[in-house]
Amino acid sequence: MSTSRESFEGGVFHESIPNGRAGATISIARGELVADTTGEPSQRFTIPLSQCKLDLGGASGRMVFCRTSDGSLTIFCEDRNFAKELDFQSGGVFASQLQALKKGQRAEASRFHFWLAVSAVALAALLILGYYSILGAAKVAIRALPVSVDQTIGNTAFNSMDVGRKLDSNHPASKLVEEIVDKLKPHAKIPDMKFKVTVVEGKDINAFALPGGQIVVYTALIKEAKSAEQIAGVLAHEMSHATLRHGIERIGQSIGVIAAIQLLVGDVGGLLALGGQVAQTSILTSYSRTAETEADLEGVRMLHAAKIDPQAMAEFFKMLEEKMGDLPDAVAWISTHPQHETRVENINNHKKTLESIEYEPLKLDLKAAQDAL
Amino acid sequence: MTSSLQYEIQLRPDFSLLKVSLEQGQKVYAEPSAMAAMSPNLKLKAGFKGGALKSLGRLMGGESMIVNTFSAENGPGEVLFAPGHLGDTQHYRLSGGALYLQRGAYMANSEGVEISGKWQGAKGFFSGEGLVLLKATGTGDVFFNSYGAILEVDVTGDYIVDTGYIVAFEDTLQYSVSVLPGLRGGGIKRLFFSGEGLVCRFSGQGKVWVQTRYVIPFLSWIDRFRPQKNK
Repeated sequence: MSTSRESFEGGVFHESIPNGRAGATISIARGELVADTTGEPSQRFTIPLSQCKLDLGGASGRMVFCRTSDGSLTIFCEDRNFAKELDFQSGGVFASQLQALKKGQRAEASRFHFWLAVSAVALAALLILGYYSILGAAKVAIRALPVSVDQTIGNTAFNSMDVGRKLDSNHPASKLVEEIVDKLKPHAKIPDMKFKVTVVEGKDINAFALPGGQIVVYTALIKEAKSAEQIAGVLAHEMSHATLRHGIERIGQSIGVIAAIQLLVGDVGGLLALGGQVAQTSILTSYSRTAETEADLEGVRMLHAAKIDPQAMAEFFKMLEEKMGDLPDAVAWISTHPQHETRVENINNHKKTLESIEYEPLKLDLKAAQDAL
Repeated sequence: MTSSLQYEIQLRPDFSLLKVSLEQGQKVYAEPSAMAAMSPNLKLKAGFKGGALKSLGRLMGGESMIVNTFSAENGPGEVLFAPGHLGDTQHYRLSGGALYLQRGAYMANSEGVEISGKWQGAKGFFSGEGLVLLKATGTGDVFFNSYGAILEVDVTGDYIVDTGYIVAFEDTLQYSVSVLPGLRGGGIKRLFFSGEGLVCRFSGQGKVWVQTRYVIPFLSWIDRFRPQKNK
């Protein structure tokens, strides 16, 4: 057997050392592990390789410990090459021992990672569950509020909004949309809801509904419409947002989530100020995809009940999609809404479930209204 | 230069104060704001030590990136260091190897010692004690402090310490974070409500320093006596 080519930085545990531990320079010579402590005076400890019991551990998990059989003396080293050298000098005796120790550590590590993954998933599930139960609770609470609350919020929002120049109520376009709303009104889900529709000058093909029945239609939408039925389709959709109370639901959810967070954090003081923030119109007029789909289907029901062909609603979406390419302004109405293809499909599917009736064309002069704009 | 520092830890354990007597030419490094008093002939220099990465490591380990250096350039002198909170101060002599320090436990060190951050990843995340431990390596003296008194435990085999009570441990000890064994059967409910939970399991041979108080339970105890905010 030879002497190791290099020496390693490591340490020794032994009773005779003050504090029981000392740093040491370790080498392997003539079949013995030799450790010279770095302190003054230096002590020398040796373990014959044949009596060496190996262990793997330390904070890094890579430290090699070599113990005498009675455990009174331990020489340890963290150097990566130490294990190799030890194995080489012993003539391969330690190879299988080291292998087994490393395998054991890997098994432990994978167990740890398994539980790590399990707890991460559990935590995520808990958070998602919490989020949705808050949303659900808010929905139930909101449904219990009287419709007058919707109207108050909607009117306040409408008055504080800078929507643009409103068209006079005697304007042919205003009259047109009002007549359509009047036709649809008797079939609304909430019969006594007070609908009010306002036409506003704007280049976006857009319309939106505020809680309580305030509806705003932009002039561009009327200009681009191919038939009065198409406008009726959009209006039915927007009226449905109001009757399905999507706006107030949305406010409730926003407040609900933030209120829950505030309760968890422990500060309820900021809640009032928060309400004001949430009531901002961006939240009142943009709905989730689920809400959009609901409004589509409810709109189809209303149109059908009013004997207006719901096909026009699907047509209008199709037209918007075609226009999108060369009309970036038109994106406004589309961006918050679901994929057109799915919408058209949904509308048509829903239409099929309704009993087939004879639809009556709207006797309205769209051309005159468009010319007046 | 591995000569050891002459030091004395006074007023132990609750209001401990570390006195280091420097000989001509000796230096001591300490965390900022630890200095309580000093001889006027000592020179104080503040700055980064050990480069950007090591400084960042210290920052992640709950220490300042800046380290103050006190050097006895004009004759011997003494300097007193006080921990930020009440508790004991402990000396450790490094001779090769490494000492791991809990977040914020570092106080001072002599020349020849490097203090850096040691990323512990998921282990650190779940222990709730920060993602980075401080690691002291080299040859020289290290001083660290605790909240409460310090108990030195000689581990042979296995030993379990609540993660909040660990102050420092030697590199020869393997450690893993786990749920307190008795709680495993009791399900997740016990983990959340018993107030005991994550522990560090040490195995191998080496020393662990355990503090006799943990600041979080102390804060929740004192919280009950706070005046209530008016609604």
